[in-house]
Amino acid sequence: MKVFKNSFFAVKTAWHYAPFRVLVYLVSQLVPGTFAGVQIVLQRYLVDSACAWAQGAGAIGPVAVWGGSYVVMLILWVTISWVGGYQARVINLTLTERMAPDIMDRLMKLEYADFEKQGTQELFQRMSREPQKMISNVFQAVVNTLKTILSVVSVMAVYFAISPWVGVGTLFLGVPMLFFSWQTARGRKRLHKQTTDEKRRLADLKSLLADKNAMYEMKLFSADRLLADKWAAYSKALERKNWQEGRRMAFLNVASCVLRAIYFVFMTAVLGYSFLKGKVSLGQFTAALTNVRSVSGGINSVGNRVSSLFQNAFLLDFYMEFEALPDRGDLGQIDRTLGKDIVFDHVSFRYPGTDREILRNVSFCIREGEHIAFVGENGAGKSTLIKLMLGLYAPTEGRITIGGAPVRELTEEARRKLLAVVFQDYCSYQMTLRENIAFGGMGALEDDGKLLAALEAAGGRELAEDAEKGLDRNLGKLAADGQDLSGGQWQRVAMARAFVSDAAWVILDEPTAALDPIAESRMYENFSRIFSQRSVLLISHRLASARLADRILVLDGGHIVQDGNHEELMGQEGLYRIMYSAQSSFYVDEDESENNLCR
Amino acid sequence: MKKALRYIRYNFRDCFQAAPGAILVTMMGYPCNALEAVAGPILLAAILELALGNLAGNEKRFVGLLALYGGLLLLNPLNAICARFVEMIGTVRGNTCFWGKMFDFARKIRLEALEDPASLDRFKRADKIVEDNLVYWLVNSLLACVTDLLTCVGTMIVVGSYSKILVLAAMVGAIPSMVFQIQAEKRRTDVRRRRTDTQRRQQYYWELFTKRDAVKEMRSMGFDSYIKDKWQQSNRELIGEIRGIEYAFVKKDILAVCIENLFYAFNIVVSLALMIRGRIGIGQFAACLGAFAGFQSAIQRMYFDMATIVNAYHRIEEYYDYFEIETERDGQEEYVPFQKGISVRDVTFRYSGGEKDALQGVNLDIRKGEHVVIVGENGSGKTTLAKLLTGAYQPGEGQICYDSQRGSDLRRESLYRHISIVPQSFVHYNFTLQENVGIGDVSRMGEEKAMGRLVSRVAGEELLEKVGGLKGQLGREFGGAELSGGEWQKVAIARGLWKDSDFIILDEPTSALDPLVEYDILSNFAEMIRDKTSVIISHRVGICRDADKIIVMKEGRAVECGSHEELLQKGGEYRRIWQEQAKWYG
Repeated sequence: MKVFKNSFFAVKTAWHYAPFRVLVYLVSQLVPGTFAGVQIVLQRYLVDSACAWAQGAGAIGPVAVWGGSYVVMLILWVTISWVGGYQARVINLTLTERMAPDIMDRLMKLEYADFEKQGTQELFQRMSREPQKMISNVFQAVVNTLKTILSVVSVMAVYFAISPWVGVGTLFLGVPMLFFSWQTARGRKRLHKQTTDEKRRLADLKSLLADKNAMYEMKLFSADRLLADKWAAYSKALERKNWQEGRRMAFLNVASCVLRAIYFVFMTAVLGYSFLKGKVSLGQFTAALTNVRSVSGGINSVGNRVSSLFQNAFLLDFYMEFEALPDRGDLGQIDRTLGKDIVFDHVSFRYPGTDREILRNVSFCIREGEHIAFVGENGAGKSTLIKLMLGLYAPTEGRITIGGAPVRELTEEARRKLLAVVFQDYCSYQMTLRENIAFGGMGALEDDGKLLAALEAAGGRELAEDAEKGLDRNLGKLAADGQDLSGGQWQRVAMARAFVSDAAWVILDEPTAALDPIAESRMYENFSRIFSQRSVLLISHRLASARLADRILVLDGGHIVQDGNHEELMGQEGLYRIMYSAQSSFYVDEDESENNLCR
Repeated sequence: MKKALRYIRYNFRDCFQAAPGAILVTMMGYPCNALEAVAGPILLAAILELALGNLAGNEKRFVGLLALYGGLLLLNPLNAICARFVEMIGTVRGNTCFWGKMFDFARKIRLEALEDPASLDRFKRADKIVEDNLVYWLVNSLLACVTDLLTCVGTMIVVGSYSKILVLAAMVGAIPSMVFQIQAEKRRTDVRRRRTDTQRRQQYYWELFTKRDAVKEMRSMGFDSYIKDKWQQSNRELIGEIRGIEYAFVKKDILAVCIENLFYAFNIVVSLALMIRGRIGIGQFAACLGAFAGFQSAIQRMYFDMATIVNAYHRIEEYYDYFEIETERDGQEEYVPFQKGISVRDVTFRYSGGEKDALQGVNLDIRKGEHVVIVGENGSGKTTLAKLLTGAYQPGEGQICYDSQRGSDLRRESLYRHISIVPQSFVHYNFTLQENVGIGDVSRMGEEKAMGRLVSRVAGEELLEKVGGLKGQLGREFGGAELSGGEWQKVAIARGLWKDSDFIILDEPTSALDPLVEYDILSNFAEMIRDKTSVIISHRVGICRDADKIIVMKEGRAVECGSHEELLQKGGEYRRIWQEQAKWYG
């Protein structure tokens, strides 16, 4: 069964990472588990011997011995429990500390496609919430369940010894109560399943409320009321479902409470009767009577523990799924290439799990030292081309080689030496400016001169100069003294990464989308100057930048439809001329552009 | 202190409003617990006394007492039933009520206040409190504290009736452990607070490994091990401190427990002595042991309750702090659509937390029916100016007047009714296409034909087809069509145009579109907004040629103003920007 499998996995993992702590934790939790039974036995002998002594039928010695051991047991019990409590608090930390790096390594060893696939989105969302903590929680839940079961079993054993009737009564209580709590756990799970949609909707609405841009827009449109209505509808639906399932759970709860009440009455009656008949001693009578409640409480908590274990263990499913993901196939052995030309040889590509061919039989060769621009409309497959070039995806058909070597058979290091890239959806890291730039080439982390030069080349020198801490200023809101940058400023930082890298090819995917005109044109000038010695591959729908390229490749419908420099392409009928004219029409005279626009 | 009392009052009011039944039941349930703790040992003593003495002849009394004891035990399941119901009502109702309150409040918050990142933090914290069902916590722990107080007093009287010394012993024995516990709790809270930063950073590093955009960069640039080191470094910081504290506590705790148990042993000895002297019977001896233990644990619990109360208060403080965010200061006067124009006079504006003014004295006029384009470099204050023109943000100094009506005097909603926007950071609503567009004017949401026409005009038939008509869900999160940035932008434009306003502001409406679409839309715009007063903010100075007026922003000021030809001739900032861009297309 899944619960057992997952629980076993959690225990095994915990043992693997911290055997010593796990052992100490197990002992400190399980040993006190037996104390509940021991306590009743000691109480019984203490009272019996005290009685005998009080009635003159025994010596004081046994009383002292039993009393003494009772106190010692109590001290032991509490002490071990405290040690257990300490272990419980720190075992999480130890497991996290040792497990997390391995999980990170594993994440980096996954096929990149898994991160983009639709089906695995939720998996990664869960992975983003530090799964190591969850594994350690399940481990603890397993141990706690064992502990509670142990304590109930020990008490039951003692009860059976006192009188079979008392034991049988306890069994009669225990079995249905466990059944009820199992049902409750199932109900919880069902409820969780039934309400996910409402909860996600509500969370989505919440995120709008917390968003300043959304509030601005909604206020202006007086749409906040629409939002409030939606909120009310979803939360009403959620409340209704909660009530429905809640009622059922409450009913189960009432049933188990009634059962407990019957049990109490039964136990008092049986014990009273047995005592009156002289079948149990006074010690047994008092010990059993005073512990009746703790027994039912114990059984109840076994139920709760088991049901929470069920819940938690199910949550581990995603982790098993994660473990089962295949390793990436782009970590090759080739660490050197002959030349640096990039060749696409009859490449076709579909994203895994989809039907649409993004690229169809694309072939081209771009040579070291060339400045290449890829242009095309949105969705023409420009960014996909980059991902293939980087080996993030394997082509469905055809071969992609750099310097003769298939891209995915190169080592990561070799690929990095060949290609540096600024993605369209670049990341804004909430760290220092220094780190943000140096990510382009970690060797430059301490090389202020190089970092500043790169930043200047990207047109963002003032980002370091205007700040008190210079390169070490914190960007983003994560640090208390951090400052968020505007879209354009972040873009410059991302660009600077490419300037830091020493790779042969520099790939720029839509590098100027968030820049203003002046910055844009300055950036173009910088490109041609700084990269005059290097090979450049530029993707842009701002065609002005394409003009600077030695060669322009026009993508349309998954094919390369045009190939040539600006002048050549302007001389041809085709997509390039149409696009270029559309953009330049704002800057050149009306009639001229009118002619070009006839499609 | 005043704030604390106020918050506690709010909390009781809100909890009671959310689930009055639950609170009442809790109030009644807790005394039952106390009764059980006090009466249990006494009854048990009487039973034992009888059992040891002459049972013969007293069987009826014995059975009666036993029945009473059994009855007392019944309180426990009864109480459990109540507690379960209370918990259920609390979680079911609580979420709706407490979140509903936040929801209502969020709509009243001043937009300027939302610019402050601290507001977002408050929101997140309050949200977490509701999510974890902690709003009830304070009320619950206060009631629990009362119960334990009752138990304490009750058991104390029982123990005291045997010996005054025992009362003292129980109290002294409990002191070390509760002192340590309070200390421990305080230190833990301290550490938690101090460490939230580190923890947040740690969580951030972790998340990078699961986000596709970051993974893509980490792989192609190779800085994954650097991030991993950062994670480990901050983890080490965290762990070291927590471990140290917990270890120190566990030592103290064990000491405290030993002391407590020593006093328990002392109690046994004293009780024994009392029994030997014949002051109490063996039944009372047992009762005394029970009551002593009960008393000891009740004292301890009470102290612990107090610590919990403090803790619980801090949590509800986080919830109610959210409601202290500044709310909108609305004007009184009804807005009358301007006939002459809008005038901006010496307007300054500073974002909360900003180091310098985003606008430093802006002066300009927009006449009715004019089509204005605002250009300027990033950070020159264009978007801020737009936000102020809508009246959603109020200038720090200076005035924006619509004819002669001062913006600050106007009832905000009456002004909004006549203004439409396509903001730069437009919102992706995970709703249907119809709702996404209809948000522009909710009252006309149902006019599907007109909306269909607008959408196909702005976004094209393809978009309608892709999402499956107006009723199609947008956004992948809820199983809808995934739109590209450009497509979302078209939806936002349709939204802005859906509102039938006489003044519209378009903030970089085409930044995510490719050239052909951009051209189509921009040339369509002129048509669609012909009858309106319009302000377009754009990086693309190309669209300026058709504008009636161009305003050039620089460093928070409007430095130039005029038509395309005028400004080109003037040879200032505008000419510079124009040439920089036009040269690529020459």
